[in-house]
Amino acid sequence: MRRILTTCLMSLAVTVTFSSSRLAVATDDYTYDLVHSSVSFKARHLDISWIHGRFNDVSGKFSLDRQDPTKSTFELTIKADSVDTANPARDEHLRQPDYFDTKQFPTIEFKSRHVKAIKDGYEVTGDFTMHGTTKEITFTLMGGKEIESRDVKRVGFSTDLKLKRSDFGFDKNAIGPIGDEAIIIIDCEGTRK
Amino acid sequence: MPDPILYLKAFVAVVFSSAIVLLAFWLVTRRHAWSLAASCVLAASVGLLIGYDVLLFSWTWPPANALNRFLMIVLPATVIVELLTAVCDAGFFSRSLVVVLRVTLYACAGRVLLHDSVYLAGVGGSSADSWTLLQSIATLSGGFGVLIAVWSLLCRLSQRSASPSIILSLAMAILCSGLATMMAGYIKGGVAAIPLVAALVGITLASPVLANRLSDHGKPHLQGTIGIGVMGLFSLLCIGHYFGQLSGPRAVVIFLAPLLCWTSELPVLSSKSPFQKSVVRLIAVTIPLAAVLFAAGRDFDQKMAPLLAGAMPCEKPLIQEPRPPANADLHSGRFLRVARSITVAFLNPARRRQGGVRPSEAMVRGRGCATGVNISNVVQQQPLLDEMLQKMSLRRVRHKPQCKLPPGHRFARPTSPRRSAWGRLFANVGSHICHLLFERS
Repeated sequence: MRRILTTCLMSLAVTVTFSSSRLAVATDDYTYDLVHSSVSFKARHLDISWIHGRFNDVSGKFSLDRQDPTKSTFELTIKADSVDTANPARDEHLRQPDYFDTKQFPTIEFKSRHVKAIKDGYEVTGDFTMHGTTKEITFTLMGGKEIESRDVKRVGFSTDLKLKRSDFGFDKNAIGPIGDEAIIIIDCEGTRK
Repeated sequence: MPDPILYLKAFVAVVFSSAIVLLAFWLVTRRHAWSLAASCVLAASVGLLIGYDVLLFSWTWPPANALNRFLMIVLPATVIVELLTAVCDAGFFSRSLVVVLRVTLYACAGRVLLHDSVYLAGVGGSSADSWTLLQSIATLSGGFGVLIAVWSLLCRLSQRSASPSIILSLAMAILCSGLATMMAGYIKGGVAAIPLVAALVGITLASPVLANRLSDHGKPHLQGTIGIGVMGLFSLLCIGHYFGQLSGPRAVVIFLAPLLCWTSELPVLSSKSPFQKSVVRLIAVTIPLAAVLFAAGRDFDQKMAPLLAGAMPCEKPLIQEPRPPANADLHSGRFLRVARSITVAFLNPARRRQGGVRPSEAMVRGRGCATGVNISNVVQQQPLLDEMLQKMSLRRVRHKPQCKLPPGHRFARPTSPRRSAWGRLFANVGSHICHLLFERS
């Protein structure tokens, strides 16, 4: 009886081990490739044109489960003081508390909570934290096709997010000539060995 | 964007509300120095509430940024401590309790303002600005020491003479900190100074009338207001420096400037009337503050004004010259030259009378596109102008200069060597002081 019980337990343990290792294999973990990615933004100026800028220091990781996309996760961390609008004086101004307040809120973060597969991409819902305020946002992430180049597996995604600065604790009175709505454009590649 | 009309409305509202509330409290309280001190604190707090409401400041809990922590934690705590101090003078509380509360508040103020910022994130945090534990302790204890020293020195002075000029000096310093912070690019941080200044002005206007009717006339009654003013100034400078772009030396100069009120206590001025002493105090405090504002304005012209000028049409350059290389030495040299020419123009009355270089003209030479007219190219002629100024101080100019100047700009007429020597002496001293104060920052 004891032998039977031991055998059953061992077989159960082996099954659990194999199934978990199979799970681990099913998820591909990618690291954000800073060289081939960009997080840029644009906002209306005086409601007649667009000002463009980008964040130069971004990191992130995402794991893709091809068999069960709902188990995929996406994380992105942007260093707010890496803002670059091709004008150093304006960048300094944007780092101040009237805008990004980078000494108080050094990072802009996104962490996914739900992922759903759609045609040519994923619909991702998650927490977006900017300027100390966290809001749930949903966006469509296009891409996800993996290719191998020089022994490195790469996957690419792109998306556009429309955000209202006033929703994230930016002072409504300080919005001034720069529009409340900002469009964040993310084009990123992830790599894995 | 700055809204001067709104700022003016807030200022007037706070001045009137502080003064009226002070009179109202005075009517219902007894006529003692402590009741007037408590009334001043309450009037200031009511005025501040109204002012920040008019300016549409947000009141969200928990406070997310330094300005909100100042408005929702530091300022109310200061008002409570000052009220307790005023009431303690009437014998309702033990003095040691109030002292402990005050020391705790002053020790915690810096920590509260910097809470959750990159500075206190610890080494290895998300920013290179993070302090080590030793740096944090040194900075916060240094801030505490300076804060308590300034407060105690001003209170000591108010005990010697309960003159509203001390409050007015504090108001000027707070106004200067607000303007300097705004010119450094943090508009809301600068605007936060307006209600504080207005509250102090309102109390300054109303309290002397009431102080003359005190049964214990002559006793200090402004210490509560000084406490609020000093804490407000300290907090605004901390916020402007650590979260905005207000430079450290300028913040220190602004914070220590009210201490120059002590100049009225010099033995030379001991025989002067209280009014004359007040004037001396205000003048002594104004000088460093004006110098800070001048330097802040210069930086604004160089850094921020081009951003605004980009949105506004700028006239064509008057003189077509190649742009100078943007390096710090050039700016530094340029500033010194401008400071020298301004000082020469101000301190050499003969030159002014004879229609030579006028102060406004000298200033114009140092300003850029922000003045509306692009005269930055004129500055590039500055080495030549300086050389000529130097020559003209020794002998008469016989030939007209070769460089082209815009209409209305004239070279200085020759003056006597003696006057020029004095002018040069003052100019050199002025430029060296400016260099020590600002260029090293």
